[in-house]
Amino acid sequence: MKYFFLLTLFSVNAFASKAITVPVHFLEALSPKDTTSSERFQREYESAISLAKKLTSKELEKCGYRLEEKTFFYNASDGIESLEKAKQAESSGAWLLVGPRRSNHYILLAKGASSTPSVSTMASSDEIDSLGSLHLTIAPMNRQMAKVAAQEAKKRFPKTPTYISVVSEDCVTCVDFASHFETISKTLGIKQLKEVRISGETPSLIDAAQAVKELKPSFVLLPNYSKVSAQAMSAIYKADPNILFIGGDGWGDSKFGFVQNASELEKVRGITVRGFPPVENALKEFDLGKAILQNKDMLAQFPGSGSAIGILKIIEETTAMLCKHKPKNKTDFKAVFEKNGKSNFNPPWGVSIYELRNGDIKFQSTVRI
Amino acid sequence: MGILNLIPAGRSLRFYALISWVIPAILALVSCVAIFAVVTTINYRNQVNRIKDELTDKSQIVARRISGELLIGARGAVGSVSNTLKDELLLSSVEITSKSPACSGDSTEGFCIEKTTDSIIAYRKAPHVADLYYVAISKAKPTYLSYFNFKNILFSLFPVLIFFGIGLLLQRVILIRYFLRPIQALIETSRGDKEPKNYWPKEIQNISENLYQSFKERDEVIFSQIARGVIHDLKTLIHTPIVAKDLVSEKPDAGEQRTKRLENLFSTCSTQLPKIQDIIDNTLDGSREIPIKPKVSSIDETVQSAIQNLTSLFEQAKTSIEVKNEATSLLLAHDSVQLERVFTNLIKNGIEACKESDGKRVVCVSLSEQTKSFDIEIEDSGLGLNIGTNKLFQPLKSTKTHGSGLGLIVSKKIVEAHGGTLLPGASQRLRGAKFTIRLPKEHLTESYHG
Repeated sequence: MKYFFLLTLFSVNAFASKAITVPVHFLEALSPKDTTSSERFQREYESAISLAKKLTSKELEKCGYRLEEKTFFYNASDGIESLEKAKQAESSGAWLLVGPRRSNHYILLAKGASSTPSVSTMASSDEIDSLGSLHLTIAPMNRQMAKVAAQEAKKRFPKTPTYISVVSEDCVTCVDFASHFETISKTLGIKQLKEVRISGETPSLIDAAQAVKELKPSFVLLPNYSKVSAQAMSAIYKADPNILFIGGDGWGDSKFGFVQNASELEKVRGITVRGFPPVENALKEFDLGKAILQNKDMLAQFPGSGSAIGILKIIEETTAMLCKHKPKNKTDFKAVFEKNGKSNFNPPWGVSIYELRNGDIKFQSTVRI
Repeated sequence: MGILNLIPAGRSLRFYALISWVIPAILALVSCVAIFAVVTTINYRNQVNRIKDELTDKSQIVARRISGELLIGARGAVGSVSNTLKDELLLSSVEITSKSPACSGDSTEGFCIEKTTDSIIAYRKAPHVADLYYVAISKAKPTYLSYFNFKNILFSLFPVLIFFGIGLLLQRVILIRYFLRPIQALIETSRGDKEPKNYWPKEIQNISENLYQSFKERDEVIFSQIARGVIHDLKTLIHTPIVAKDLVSEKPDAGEQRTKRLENLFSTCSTQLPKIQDIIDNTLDGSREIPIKPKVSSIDETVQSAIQNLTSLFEQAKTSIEVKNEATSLLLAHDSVQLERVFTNLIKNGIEACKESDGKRVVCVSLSEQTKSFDIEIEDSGLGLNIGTNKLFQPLKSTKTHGSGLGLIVSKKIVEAHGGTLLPGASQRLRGAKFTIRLPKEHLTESYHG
């Protein structure tokens, strides 16, 4: 009879505290779709979600929640798909959207799901600020990264350095970064000789190479994504083999991207700033990261990309918000997010400087912002 | 088969062999040109449809990319993305317009394709953009002329022309070796002058063999029939020399009776011996060329001479002769000896035909002058021709009880040697047979060689 009473009490309690399902949709672009790199990125992205979910499930359960994730990958050359997927996610009742890395894709996502809270893993352009308190990013902003890059350039060329910027004009964050870099450079006495605008995934780089040959700048600013940056480096290196390249947060890291391990770029020199430090450094900065660092198996399996770290941090902060404010539905969650999002989704790992040397991108230092 | 009427008649075998190839070749050539035209038109339409399909797909990509840029707002790089897409997607132009397109629209809403003289333009509404924007992409339209150029036609027809040429040569060789030469040689092989070649077509070898057999059999039959006829006639006529032998063997003192019998024998010999001579002459002339020695003289005289020769025969047969001369001038270059044989033969036939008739026995000879010829008609009051005119000039087809039939053949040969014709027919007036000899005025000239 005693056991029956306890069992009944436990069952009633369990029934009463049934977990609230929190639908979280992950949207990310794959480019190009047919490369091994892209497939590996997809696997690691999904693995990061799975790990983050596993690490937070107990705490969420305690708080009465259960994450229900859905992941959508789309073609990076068809950015409007992020808008369409976001619309679908919003209409399906997603509480939170974890948005794509690219700023322009993330802006489109925000347009597609304007009333659903969203966080980008890496978007860093100024436009993110103007999207309002429902749409945030876990990465440092372009202006912060451009400042660190300009300061590093000044260190390398103390005497009135000059530069040429080669910018993808169809890349919002690239143009944004170049603009901030120019503004900060002026204050540091760095002179821009010319800005060459390029366009597309395989742009014409004749003008850029010609400009470098004629104007002989101290360095070339390449705030573009890795594929275009790698092509630009290859073309410009032939015009001036001693030139130094300075990049924004787009060259990729030692695992993903087109800059590293490219045979024609083995002798190219460059520095780049990124919103993420190396994985172990980044993991030290937040609780879930620390938990992974303590578990060798988990650490060995953890993907080292910025997106993976971003996902982990976003899930950690989402869990914290849910447990702290206990929203009962999407409307409640939206209100909580709007009020507390900016303080929660704040990158703790500063801006890191990396060096391109011997065909590899290697971490150098982190600058706190 | 109206087309066959267009082919000229009476040309050589080689000509018809060539025609038999040229007509199908022309038809093949025309068919090729027609097929080329149809295929080219289909290709052109397919190419246009391919471009339309391509633009349908690409307009989707462009519209979505441009939409993405428009939605980003002021920072969107519409111009640069347009240029990039133009190059990447191999388009002639990429434009963005806020005006609705002029084309009426396709099956999909917000999409239509317009064809101008030199390009195909696809319009597609930019998706998800609040304001109305259309993306217009275009590609150059292929022209019919680019497909119908001479080089393409020549390239398409070249194999046909080559095959046609080779086929023509081969056909010529084959036709000559296996058709023309065997056919030309058929007469010789049929006579047995030449052996058929073993590479000839089986059919022609068989025809040659059959003709050879048939000619041989016919020759044998003709020979035996002529021999029989001639022997029969000669046997009848040989009676006279036998009588002469008996008479000679009689005693000379037989007196007046013997003298009378000698006179009878002489009379019989004078009629029968020329007959034997005729039989021998006709038999010989029926199988050889008759030499003609023309001299200008009156044809009337030749006719009269023939009638004169037959005076006694007319008397014996109790047959009268009528001569009608309607001609003004009767001078004609002719071989009077040979033509006299003809007239004699035909008049004699007329006399003999009259014997079989119960009524009045008359042979009528009429001379008339036509524009280009002299006509000599010989009619009789006999029973008429009892065999077809086509068989009349064949050996052994005589209308007489005793006759080899060679007389008419020889007569025909002589008349034809003068460039004339010998036409058998029926006499309207005398109800018997009628033979018309038509001799052209200008055919022969006088021979001075004798």
